[in-house]
Amino acid sequence: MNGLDPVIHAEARLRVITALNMIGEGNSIAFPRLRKMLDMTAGNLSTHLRKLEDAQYVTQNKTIEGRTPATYVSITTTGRAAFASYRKQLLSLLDSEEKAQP
Amino acid sequence: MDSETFDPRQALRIAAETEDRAGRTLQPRVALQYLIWGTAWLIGYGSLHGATHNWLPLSSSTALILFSIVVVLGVASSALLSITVSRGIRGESAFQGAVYGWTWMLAFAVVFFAASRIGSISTDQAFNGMIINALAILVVGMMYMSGGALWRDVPMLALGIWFLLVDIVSLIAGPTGFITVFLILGVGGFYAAALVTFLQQRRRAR
Repeated sequence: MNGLDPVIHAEARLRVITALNMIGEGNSIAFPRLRKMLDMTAGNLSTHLRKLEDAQYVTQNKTIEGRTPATYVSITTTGRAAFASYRKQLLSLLDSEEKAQP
Repeated sequence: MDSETFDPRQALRIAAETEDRAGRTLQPRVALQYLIWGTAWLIGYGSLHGATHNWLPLSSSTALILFSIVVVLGVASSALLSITVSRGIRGESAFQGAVYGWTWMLAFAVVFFAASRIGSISTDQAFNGMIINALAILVVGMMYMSGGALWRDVPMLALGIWFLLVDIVSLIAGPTGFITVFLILGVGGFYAAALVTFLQQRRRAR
């Protein structure tokens, strides 16, 4: 294996955490808006969010807005750090790949 | 698929694409707002200028109504564009955005009441117009300057400084000249800021 964080290194979760990282730690986004932004199905997004939540990379907050329940998602400090080191690793992997080529 | 592995190059590309996409939907369309406001001012100050300098077949009260209509349309479009961006987002940025939006509203409520007071003590319409306009632009300039500080948006900061300087020029130009000043330097400022911001966003998206 290449030693990349398996929680992040899967296309769907990479997209989820990248978007949440852009939105920032002090902010959270409503589930439907995130789903639309990433163009994912609700079921698919939920599954990946749960995996990210299990790793404590994201938090999901359930509230009531008016009379309807709403879920807000945001990245955690752990998630930000994991994402930053994942990207660093990606870049260094590419770097060594380039050096290995003649 | 869960155990999918993909190569680092592909992963970087996906991250970059997602950032682009998220950035585009999260950023208020500032360049578009400047373009709308530049055009609103072109029509508004243009009709006031045309009415006072007799190159448009308009009475000055019709021109003033026209000016008010385009300003209201401008406010509505800015509010709509900002609300669209902030929908479904909570937290620090949403708070900043909401406070910023309400500050605009409250400051303009003050300008509105000051305008009716000024109108009741003096009948010199051109002079009143100049003072009320100067008050309104004071708000606009300060709001853009603080917006520039809030979002580290240099073109927005520059536009705020520009409007305050143009405001001074308009007061020097006096009751007969201030409309010309805004028609040229005000509209020009908005269009220049629209162009700079548009180019900046396009460069960042690459």
